[in-house]
Amino acid sequence: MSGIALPFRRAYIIDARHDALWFLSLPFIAVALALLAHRYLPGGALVAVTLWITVPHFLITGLRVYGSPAEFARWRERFILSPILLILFAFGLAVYAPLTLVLLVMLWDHQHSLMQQYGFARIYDFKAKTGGPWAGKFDLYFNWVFFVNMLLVSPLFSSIWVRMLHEWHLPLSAAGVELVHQISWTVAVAYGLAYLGYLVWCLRQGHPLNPLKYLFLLSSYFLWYYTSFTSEYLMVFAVAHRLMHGIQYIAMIYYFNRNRVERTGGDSSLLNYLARPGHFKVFLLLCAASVLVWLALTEGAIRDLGFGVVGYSENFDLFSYSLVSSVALIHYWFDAFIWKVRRPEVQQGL
Amino acid sequence: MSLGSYLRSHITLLAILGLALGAATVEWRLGHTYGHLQPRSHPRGAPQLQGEALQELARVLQGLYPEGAEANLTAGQARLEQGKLQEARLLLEKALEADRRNQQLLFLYARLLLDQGEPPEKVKAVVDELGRYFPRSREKVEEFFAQASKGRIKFAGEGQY
Repeated sequence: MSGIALPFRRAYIIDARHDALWFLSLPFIAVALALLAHRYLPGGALVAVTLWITVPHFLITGLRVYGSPAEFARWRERFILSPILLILFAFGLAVYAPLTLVLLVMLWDHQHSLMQQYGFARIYDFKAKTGGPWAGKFDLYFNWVFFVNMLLVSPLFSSIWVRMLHEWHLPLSAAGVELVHQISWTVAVAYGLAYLGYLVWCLRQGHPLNPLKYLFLLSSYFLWYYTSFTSEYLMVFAVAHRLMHGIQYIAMIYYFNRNRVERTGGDSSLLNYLARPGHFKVFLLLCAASVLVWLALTEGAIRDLGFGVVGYSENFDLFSYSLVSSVALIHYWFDAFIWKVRRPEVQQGL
Repeated sequence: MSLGSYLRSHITLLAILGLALGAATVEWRLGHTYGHLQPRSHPRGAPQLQGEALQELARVLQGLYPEGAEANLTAGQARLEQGKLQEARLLLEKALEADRRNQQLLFLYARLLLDQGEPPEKVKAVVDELGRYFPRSREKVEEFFAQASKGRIKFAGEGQY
């Protein structure tokens, strides 16, 4: 053996143990749990995952945005006006254009999901100082190409978008759909080769690579492709995806907050309090409280606070439906700009 | 803090909402022009396809995934709409072979069995399965089938109150 040192350099989002659990193994665990849920649990399992994982991950965005005075001051106008705009807009769409609301939430949700994995991939390169000069662009297009390919070609999502096209009075024949599949696969394979070519180029040029980033991307895409190709039941994909997306987000932000408080002293008494190692239970209690509030607002429990006068009309159902959608939209919108890895205040917590 | 700074900070969001508004206008026009969507049955539900649009979708999905649950469910719905109950039944049973965990599919199948005059216990077995997999809507579903069968199908929870 000549002992050639390949330019690989490892760095972690949190640390070796946590990354192995939350970022590399979790997608496989989530797939296993989703398959078990499909086999043994009723459809309500998806509701439970939404409540236990997705709602707290919305709360964490809220804590970051409204719990940190410095962050609030940075984006003050957006944090004040955007929620009002989005709640009103979602209500209007729920009443007058329900297909548009579904389309908007679905497309933004997909974009948000792929951008989260892209963001985590950037953190791997940022912390290891790896990836060469164009890693950011290559990773961004990688996520777009392979995520969109999954949406276009998988049986699960093909059935959904073909149905949506018909709803929008844009019918496409089976031959037309197959053509879309072929084009999408061609683009994905071609881009996959270009991506591999870039990695080889990096190695030849001496730009180090972080192998964990590639393991992370592989495990994420395993989850998405496996669940969308092997089950027609949306619940399998949704449970696996929400477990991965929500838990990775919660783990990442929890440690981000701790790092930031340790390094800068923090700017918020609430976030400082939650960052203390012994206060993880309080953090979990806050998450549970957010679930109760969510249940009250969306499941009609709040009706009983209205003395039987408020909340018993069709408008309340529309309001609670639009509230669910608008909270998701607010989360997608805020996440699109508050977590940019290139921003120094974000780097403080990485 | 001026109005201008608020607007400037929302350019991207306003662009997204502008696109959505354009889509909403198209949706509103489509609904009034083609009549290919059923009215919503519940505020939280989305409008469903009907008529020729539903049949066309069924043809496309069956062409793509002839064994798939979604394709056979859609084709079954289209046949039901045309009143072809026996054809619909075969398609729904094929869909059930692919996926029994589909709320809409189980509901339609149970309703079809009832419409075809199948014995109450046969219908009840499907409704029970529906209740097991989707407990949140169990009460409403049982109430529906108890009424639709004119009391021939009885459920454990009935008459509690």
